[in-house]
Amino acid sequence: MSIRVIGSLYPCTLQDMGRQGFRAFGVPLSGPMDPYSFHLANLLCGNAAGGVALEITLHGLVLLFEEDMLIALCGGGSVPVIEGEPVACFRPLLMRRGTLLAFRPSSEGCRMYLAVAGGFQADRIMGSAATYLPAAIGGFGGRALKKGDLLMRAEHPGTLSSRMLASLEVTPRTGGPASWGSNPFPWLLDSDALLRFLPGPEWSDFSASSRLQFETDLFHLTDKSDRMGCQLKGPVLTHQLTGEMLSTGVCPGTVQVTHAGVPIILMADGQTTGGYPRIAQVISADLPVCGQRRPGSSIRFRQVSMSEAHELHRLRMRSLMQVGQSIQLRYGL
Amino acid sequence: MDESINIYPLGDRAVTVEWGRAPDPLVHARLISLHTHLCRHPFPGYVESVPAYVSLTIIYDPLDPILFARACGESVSEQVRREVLESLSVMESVPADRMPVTIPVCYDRDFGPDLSEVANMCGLSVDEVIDIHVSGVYRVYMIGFVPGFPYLGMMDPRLDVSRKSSPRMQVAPGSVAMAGRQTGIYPLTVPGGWQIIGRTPIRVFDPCESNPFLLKPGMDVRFERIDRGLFEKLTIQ
Repeated sequence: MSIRVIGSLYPCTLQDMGRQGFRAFGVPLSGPMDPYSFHLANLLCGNAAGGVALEITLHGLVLLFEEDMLIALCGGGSVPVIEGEPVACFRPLLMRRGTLLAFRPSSEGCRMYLAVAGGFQADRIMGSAATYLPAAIGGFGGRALKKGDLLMRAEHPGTLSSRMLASLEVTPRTGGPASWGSNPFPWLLDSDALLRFLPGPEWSDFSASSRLQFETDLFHLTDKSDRMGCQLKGPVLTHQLTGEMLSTGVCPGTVQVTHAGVPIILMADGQTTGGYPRIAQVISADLPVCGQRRPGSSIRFRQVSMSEAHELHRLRMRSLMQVGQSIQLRYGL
Repeated sequence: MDESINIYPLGDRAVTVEWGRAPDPLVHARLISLHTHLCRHPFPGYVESVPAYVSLTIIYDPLDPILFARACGESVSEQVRREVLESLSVMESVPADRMPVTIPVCYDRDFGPDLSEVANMCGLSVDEVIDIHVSGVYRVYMIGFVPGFPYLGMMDPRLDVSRKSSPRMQVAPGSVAMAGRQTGIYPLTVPGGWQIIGRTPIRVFDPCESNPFLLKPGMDVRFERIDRGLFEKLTIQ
C-alpha cells in the first residue's frame, strides 16, 4: 500500500483542494498551484474531487512502487519514465509492484500531479491535508518529501477505480496505461503564456507608461518564485502613491508591486494581507497557467472584463466536469 | 445607516469593503460586525472574509448557482455588491468584548535585541519604553503576514519607530516586536523586519490545538512584564 521516495530534488508536497475558512487568521489557501491538472489526475484514477495528490515540482523525483497501484499523472515540468521509457500522462496507469518511476527534465511546464486510486494518507490540520511549508503543517509531516519517505494510500480504491482496474487491457506483468485518456489542456503548457487580468484596486495610481508596459511587455519569472508567489523581471513599474499603504486583504492572483517597482503574483501559499499597491489581479481561469510557469519562463498580461473572467472560469470548470461525467458514463456509474 | 464606504472588486472572486483611510476602533468595530454577520448569515457563494485595518475583503464563489440565479442575468460581482449592502443594513453590532487578553512578556536583553536601539530612537530609557508598551490596551486590527501574527494598534506616539533597515533572516517564535505605531507577536520562526523588544512564553498559534489561535481580529490585548524566572516557568508548562 505504499510508494517509497528514492530521491528528490525540488520541493514535492502532498496537496488537497486547500485550507478554507482561516484567512481571517492569516492562513493561506495552499492547495495545488495548478488546480486543473490536480483535479484531472484525481478524475483519471477514479477518485472523488479533492483527493490528496502529490505535487511534483520539476524533475529529479524517483519513486519505487511497493504495491500494485492505479495512478494518473497530469501536468508538466518533467517527463515520467520507467526504465528510461516515457510513460503516458493524462490517462489511468497501472503501476506494478517493484516499478521505479523517475521524473526526467522537461522543457515544458513546472508541476506534475500524481494521484493514486484511494488518495494518499496525510496529516489533516484545520480541515485540510494541504502542505503549507512556512508553518510546517499538513501533508507529509508538514514538509517536502525526502529520500526514504514512505507514502501510504489512504483508502482502498472506490467502485470507479476498481472498474477502471478491471477493464485495463494491460499485460499483467508490466502494467501500463489505459487505451483512453483525457487531452492535456492545450493552453496550460504554452511556451508564450498569456495571463489575463482585471485591473487591481491601485491600477489607476500607476503611471500611464507603466500600465502600458504591463500590458505590452514580456515579463520573466525570477529564481525567487515559489508556492508563495512568482516574482517577475521586466520593466520597473512606477506609481504616484506616497507613504505606506494600510494593509488590506489579498488573494491568489493578486499582482502587487514592491517599492523597487517589481511585480509579484501571489500564489497558493501567498500571504492573506498585504500593503503594496496592487496593479492587477490574474483571473481565476489563468492561475493554473501561472502555476505551470518556472523560473526563467515568460509571461504576458492582457486585460479582460469581469464578465469575461467569470465566463472563462465557468468554461474551464465545465470542461473538467465533462471529463468526470464521461468517465462515469464509460464505467456505468 | 449613513457611512462612507467604498466597495471595489479584487479580481473575479473577491470584493473589498473599505471604510475611509485611517485606522479607528469604531470603524474597526463596524467591519468586525460585518465579518461576524457574514460568518453567521452567509449570502449564497460566500466563502470567507478577511478583516484588516479599515477594510473587509470578502471571497466568494462566482459559480455558485444561487448567487448566479439571484443576479438575474446581471453580473455576479454586482450581485455580491448588493448582498454586501444588504448585510450592512441588517447586521447587528457585535457586542464589544472589551476584557483585554493579557499576554506576559519578558523584556530581557536576549529576548529583545532591539530594545536599546528602540529606546535610543525614541529618546527614552529602556524602562520607559517597557512602561509605555505595557500601559496600552491594543486592538487586534488584523491577523496576517503568517498564520496567527496579530497586528496590534495603535501604540503611544512616543514609540513610533521605523522598521529595521534590513530584515532578520530568522525571528524566534514568541518574539514581541514593533514597527510604526503597531506592535505584534511572531508566531513562527520566519524572516522579519520589525524591531524586537521582548518575548512571550505563550503560543499565539498552535496548529495542533482544536482552536489554534489565541487571538482573533477585534479582540483587545495588553502586555504584562514578567521576569526571566516566570518566563522559564511558563515555557515549561
